[in-house]
This record gives sequence, structure tokens and C-alpha cells, in this order.
Amino acid sequence: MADNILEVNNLKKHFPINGGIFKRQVNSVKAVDGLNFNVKRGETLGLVGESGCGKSTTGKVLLRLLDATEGEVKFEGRDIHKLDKKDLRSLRKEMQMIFQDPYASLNPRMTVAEIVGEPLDIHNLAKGKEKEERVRELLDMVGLSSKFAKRYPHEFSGGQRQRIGIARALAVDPEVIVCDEPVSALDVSIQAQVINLMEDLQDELGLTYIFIAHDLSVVRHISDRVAVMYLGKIVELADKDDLYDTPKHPYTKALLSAIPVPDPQRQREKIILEGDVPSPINPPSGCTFHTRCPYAEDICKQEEPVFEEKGEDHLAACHFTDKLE
Amino acid sequence: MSSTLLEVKDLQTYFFTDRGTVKAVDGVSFDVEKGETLGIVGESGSGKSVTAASIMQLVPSPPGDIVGGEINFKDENLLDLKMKRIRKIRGNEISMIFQEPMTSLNPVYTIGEQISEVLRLHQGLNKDEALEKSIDMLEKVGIPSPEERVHEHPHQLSGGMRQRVMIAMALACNPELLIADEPTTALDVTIQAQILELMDELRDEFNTSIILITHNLGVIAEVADKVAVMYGGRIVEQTDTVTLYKDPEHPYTAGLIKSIPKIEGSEGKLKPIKGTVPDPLNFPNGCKFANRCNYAEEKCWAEEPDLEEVKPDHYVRCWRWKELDLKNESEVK
Repeated sequence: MADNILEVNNLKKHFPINGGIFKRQVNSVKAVDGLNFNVKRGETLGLVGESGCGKSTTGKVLLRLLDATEGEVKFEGRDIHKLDKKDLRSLRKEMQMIFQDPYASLNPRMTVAEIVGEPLDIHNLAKGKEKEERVRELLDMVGLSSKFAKRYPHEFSGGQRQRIGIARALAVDPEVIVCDEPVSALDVSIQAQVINLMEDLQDELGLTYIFIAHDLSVVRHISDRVAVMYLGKIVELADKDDLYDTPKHPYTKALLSAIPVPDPQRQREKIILEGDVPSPINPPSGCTFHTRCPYAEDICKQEEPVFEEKGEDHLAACHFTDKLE
Repeated sequence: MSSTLLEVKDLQTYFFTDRGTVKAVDGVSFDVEKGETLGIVGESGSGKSVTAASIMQLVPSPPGDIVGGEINFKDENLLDLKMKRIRKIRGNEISMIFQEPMTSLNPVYTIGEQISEVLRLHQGLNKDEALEKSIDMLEKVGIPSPEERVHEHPHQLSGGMRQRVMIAMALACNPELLIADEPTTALDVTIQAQILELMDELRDEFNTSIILITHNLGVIAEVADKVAVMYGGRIVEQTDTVTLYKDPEHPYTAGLIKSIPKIEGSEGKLKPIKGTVPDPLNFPNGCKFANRCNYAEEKCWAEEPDLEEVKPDHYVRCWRWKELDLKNESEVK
């Protein structure tokens, strides 16, 4: 399709484990293990999963903050993992990131103006008066008063710091922003403010978001499509309403049923998954979810299910999708 | 009901800092009946964790100090007791689960040794008996192959497992009151569901009373019988769980409920509460919530309202609760 801004093919990221007296590679952590998906221009793609499923690593590999072990990430047709340093730097203008921890992702020794202005220096976008003007404009865009420009990060609350992080990402006028748990460290009342801000900015600037989070309610609210990850693989990908209303993978179903709903009168059937997520060093054979799946049969242990269309634009990897209904 | 287990009356816990006195908990009162779960919700800085720490008398002093109030547990006011007696109660009759299962277990002792310590101290069991009981407890909280796990160290367990160990330790002496401070916040949803179910089962089995402290309104809705909403060191609303979600009377409670996205999908924009929680030294003089409230009037800025019983067992701290129709966001009912 022409309107795909990102195309991801068979993307893998394995972290080597070295051991023995010669420190040879003895095994690897398969953090991301074969992802295929596209991101459409202007949409928000939600990426959900439990801790250790590889969603943050995916975000980093998409931006080439980490090199991929295998596979490609194409931004407007160009594989960013094949670019040389110079081209990569100019590509960074197009793809930016917002981080989870607003306390750790801002340099405590730089003022807000310096933090937000730094990308402008690096990419030679603005200098002097023009830069000052642009910084003011950016702070204004994220709802911070420009009189804060001379202050340091410690003087701000979590929500305000996250706004600074957003302003920094926007400084270079990017196309795609990877947001790694941007609101999970914030208080509930502040979370909603930041989500609304991100939605407004998307409308205004035509941004494409990849929104990584573990909070499924937030992801449903902000995303157009949602991908569910388990042990380094996408197990289901669909339009958000399809995915939440008619999940086609037992993991998605269990995940959704596990969320506590703020309505004490609602009675729901809960699927309590047993055990923990297995280690990504030695993932289970066949379907990696079979160790916790209530529907698993012999075939699930032997054969890995194909990630295929189970409904219109609704992809899932499961042998027994039919049994779910 | 007459079977009140814990009664907190006008509790005041202050922190004396160089910049001034922070009234972290300022006149908080509530009861917990036998077998009941009380939820305490609030954002960071609302004083919910300090309330819990005060009951256990774990407030670091200095700078903190419990300056007033009563904490009546059964027939005793805990604040009048000697430290020796408190130590007997702590971990035995009242126990606590903390948020961070990683940092609240001792990394150099095995799980068995840590659970045994409680049992040997409070119940006078010998080493072998204590170990046996520890294995029992681990089994009860759903840890697979407890005979082997009991000899492992905390780092060998996952986050969910560690939280189970914490619960096993807290319940080892069959306490009458369990205080859980954000017990599932650090965990994934599927593990959170396991832990919440476990707490529910244990309550049914032992008739334990629970105080559950969290910022997650979903968790509260699922397990609490009644809820206290805290803001700026004060309870601003308190009632049974169903009423709180259906008919909140305080603008802060209503705002909190509206600001979370719904899993069933929500229509249009979220409605956040404006502004941020003020610095603890700079709360408004009148109603603590005045600067963030859409309905604040002159009176709200000038004078703080009392916690008023608006319906049987429904308490609200707001001047305007009678006029406001929070459901339809209108200033007239």
C-alpha cells in the first residue's frame, strides 16, 4: 500500500549471552523474534504486552537505537538498518521518541530551553533569535508557559516533564514518534491531560504514533489499530474495536479479561492465566503461548501457528481461533 | 455492625522539614469491620501511604511524627502502647504488604528463612516446624513446588512470585488486619489478576480485614467493600464502593472516574482534572481541591468544608455537594 509510512519485515533482535572461558556466545535472549507489520501514515498503532514481551525493544529497533539482528524496517521505502551514519542522522529528524520515565529522560543540568533546543542545534535547524522563537513556540504547543524556559527539570512535576519530553521530540518536526509508555509513570488525573495533548498534536501536525503501553484501556483510547505481543512475537493485530470486542487469540482474550474495570457492579468472567511468562532465552516450542493457554492441544506444542488473516484486516497466530467464540 | 476491628480517629501525621511543616495526614478517620476490605484511593502526595505507615507506626521519625489522633485496634489505642507491645502486634495481628516486592525482601536470606523468622518470633515455633509451616503458606499462595522454592533466594523468583512470598509472609501468623500498599502496581495485569483473586480467597478463608491502598480505581472497584478517597492529606469522600462509582458527590472523585479511559471504548476526548497536585506546602487555604475544581466559589477558597454525612454512611467534604449535579457536569441539580 502506498500510504504505509513504515514497513517492518521479519524483524529480529537477539541479545547474545556469552559464557564459558572463551566468552563465546552460548545462547541468546530472543527479545524480538520475527515481526511483520505496517504502520499507516497518520495513524496510531498501539503495541501492548506484559513486561518482557519485547515491546520496548521493538520501539528501539524501529528507530535504530538498537541494531536489528535480522530483518528490515522501511521508512518511506528505505531500510533504515542499511543507512550510513549521515543518512541515519537525517532520518532521525523524521522519527523521534518519547520515553517512559520523565525523571530519567531529561538531563538535570540543562535548562528546559537547552533541552528543547538541542535537537535544533544538532540538525542545524535554527540559531540565535530564531531558535529562541522556535523553543517558545514548542513550549506553547505542549501547554507550558515560555517563562519556564530558564528552569531546570527538577522544578517540574511529572506531567510537566513529560510535556518537555514531547516538546523535545517535536522540535525537529518529525513524521513518526515512538512513544514508550509515555503516561504510565503519571498520576491518573495527569495521564488524561497528556493523552489529550498527544491527540491534539496528532491532529494538528499529522503525526504517526507508535504507542507502546501495558495499560490496555489507554491503548484502546488512543490507538487506531492495536498489536498484541507475547514473547517477542505479535500474536494478534487488528483494528482496536475488532481486537477488543472480538479477540481472535486466547492471550488477548485473557489479557482483556484480567483488567480491573472501574465499575463495581459489572460481573465478568475472568480468565486467570496460570504461571508467568516463560523465559525468552528458551521459548517454548510450537506456539510460545501453549504453556499458559487454556485451549492448548498437542499440535500447539509441535507446530508454530501462522500469523494470518482471521477476519477482515484482523491478523492472529493461533491454531484454534474458532474455539474462542 | 458492632464488630469494628480498627478505628482510626482524627489521625494527624506531620513531617517537619526545613521548609516548613507538611501535614501529610491531617485529621483522617475511618473504621474497618471484621472481614471487610477498605480501599483508600488517591494520587501521589495524597497521604494514603503515610496513613498506612502510621497504623503500623513505621513513619520515619524524624522528620515525621504522629502528632494527634487515635488508632484503636480491638481494645487498645496503638499510639499509647510501648514499642515492645507494638512489635508483638506488628507482623502478627496486623501485617503489611508493600509495593515493591523486589526491595522489601532480604536478598541474602532464602524465602523459607524469611517466612520462618516471622513464625519463630511470634508463634514460638522451632526451626523445623517453622519451615514446614512456610511450605504450607507458599502452597496456599499458589507457588508451584513449594518444597524446592522454599530454599531459593528472592532473585530466583519473578515479580509475581515475590509478591506471593510477601503475601505468604504477611499471612503466616494469620493476622486480623492486612494492610496492602499498592500490592499489584508493579505487576503485569495477568499477574495482578492472580494476586487479587488470591487476596479475595484468603479473606474468605480467614475472615481477614484488608486495607487496600492504590491509585488504580479499577482494582478498588473489584475488591473493596467501601472506599475512602484522599486528597491533600484529607479524606474528601467516603462511602460503599457501588455508591462511590455510581453517585460520586465530590468533584474530585467524579473527576478521577471521568479521567480514566474505558476499556469498552470511550466517546471522544478524555476529561482530565485541570492543573496538578500543589506542592505539599502550598495547598489552598480553604478547600484543598479549590485550585483544580471546576465548581470552586469564593467560599471554597476562604474556608475548608467539613466531612459531612450526606446520606447514611456517605461522607463528603464539599461546600457545594447539594447544588452540583456531577453526573451531568452542571452546577444545578
